[in-house]
Amino acid sequence: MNKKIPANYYELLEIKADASSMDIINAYRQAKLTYKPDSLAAYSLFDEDELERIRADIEQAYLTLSSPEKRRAYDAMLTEKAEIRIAPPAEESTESQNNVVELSGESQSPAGIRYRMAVATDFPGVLLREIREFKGIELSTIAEHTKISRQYLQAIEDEDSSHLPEEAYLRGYLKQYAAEIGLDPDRVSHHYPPLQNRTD
Amino acid sequence: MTVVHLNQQAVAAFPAADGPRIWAVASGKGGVGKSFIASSLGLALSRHDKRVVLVDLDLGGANLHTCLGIHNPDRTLSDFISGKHKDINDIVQAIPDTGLGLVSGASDGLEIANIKHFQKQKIIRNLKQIDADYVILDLGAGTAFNTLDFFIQAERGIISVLPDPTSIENTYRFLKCVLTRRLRDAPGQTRKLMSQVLSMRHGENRKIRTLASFMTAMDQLHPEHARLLHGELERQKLHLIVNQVQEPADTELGASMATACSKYFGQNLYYLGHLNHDRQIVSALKQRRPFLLAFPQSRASINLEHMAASMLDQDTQSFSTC
Repeated sequence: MNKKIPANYYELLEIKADASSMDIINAYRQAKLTYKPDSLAAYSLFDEDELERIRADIEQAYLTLSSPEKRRAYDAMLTEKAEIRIAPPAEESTESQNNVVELSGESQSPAGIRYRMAVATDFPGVLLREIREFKGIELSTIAEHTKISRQYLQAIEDEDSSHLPEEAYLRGYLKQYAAEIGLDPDRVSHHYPPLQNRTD
Repeated sequence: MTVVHLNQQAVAAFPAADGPRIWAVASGKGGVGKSFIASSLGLALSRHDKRVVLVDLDLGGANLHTCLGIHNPDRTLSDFISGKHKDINDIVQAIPDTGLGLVSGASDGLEIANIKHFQKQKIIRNLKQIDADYVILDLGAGTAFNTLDFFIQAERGIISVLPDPTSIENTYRFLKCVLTRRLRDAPGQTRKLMSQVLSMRHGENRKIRTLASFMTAMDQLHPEHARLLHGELERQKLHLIVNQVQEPADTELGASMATACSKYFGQNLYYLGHLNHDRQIVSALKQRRPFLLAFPQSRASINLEHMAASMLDQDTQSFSTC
């Protein structure tokens, strides 16, 4: 129902996940026509640099989806992403992939996490874990630095109330944890859902 | 006071209790055939036994009556705004040989282009009171608040564009204005979050540049508020007609504009089709006859009939499913 900006090759080409090879080539031609250099249809919406980037993404999308083998691999990757619900950041090595993702709404790119970090109104455990993983920091490293037991750190990310320490300790641990992953300790401790429930 | 009897055989296909369905024809730039399209679509609808009233809301630049071959309408919108006629149906004038009704803006007072807020509200309130199946608004060009506010009243917004850069640029400008105007009606809390999201920097220090990426950011950060905004944006279906096509390549323009819009605005723009450049349109005007009556066999007439029929089909379908 809601048209979203493309988060993947299918959305980029405006086709369904079960599109036939005919649908794919037609969509590809339509997109090439729309974003061609000096495109009349894109006039005043996208500048030449953006058009060039979009064209590169379209090429990449078509290259992937037009090859049954690559398409299968790509589909498998999408399914996997959907299963973890929050997509992991794109790897540096998949350059082209990065492009698409970037243009598609920053949710799935490193930049996306960065801006979600900047504006998050609360910091549930899942978001904290996502940020930590994005930064490539191991839980054990944090445990080592902060001398907080791994079990508590794990409980913070799981919001597992049965294993969380007393509120006063939790607040302190949370702040140290936040500082370790580069977040503002006060912001995190004020907006960590289990703590909010307790103060309510 | 004459009460106008429109096409008597016409039977309302849906309950009149809801009032008429409203369509609006607009454009970013002037001279792209709005009045021509509005009057032609109206005529085409009336051939499907719909009772249609055309309303000229190109305040200060009214010429819908001329497209329909009428010289001096005896009642106009001014008579309603001034209160001379209390019921908007009293200023609907029948157009000979067509079964159409017209609320004309001809020979309105010179100050009409700058109507006051309460006068605009009065018009908007009363559009739904018009006794018809379809009310088609012919709007002025550009992005003045009056125009936008009339436009967003319509279930379907039909935008006319010519295949040239100035017209295309103004069309996108118009779309931006319409969509922003719509979002402006969100509740206070939602608006606060919206400006927060808009002022954020994200990805390579860029601000959000397109409505589509703005909505994605809202979806992620404030899903409940985003749902509200989606609902607001989807209240109106947007249609595109590419008019005065001369080059074969321009026949592709409409579909491409729809593609680009979906990427930039995250909105569907339904491409209705194109109309070829046709000198007979001017000759019909000079003969003071509606084009569809003067040249029913022309390509443009056939295309217009087709466009009206396809929108009508959608209406009937959506009606039967609800």
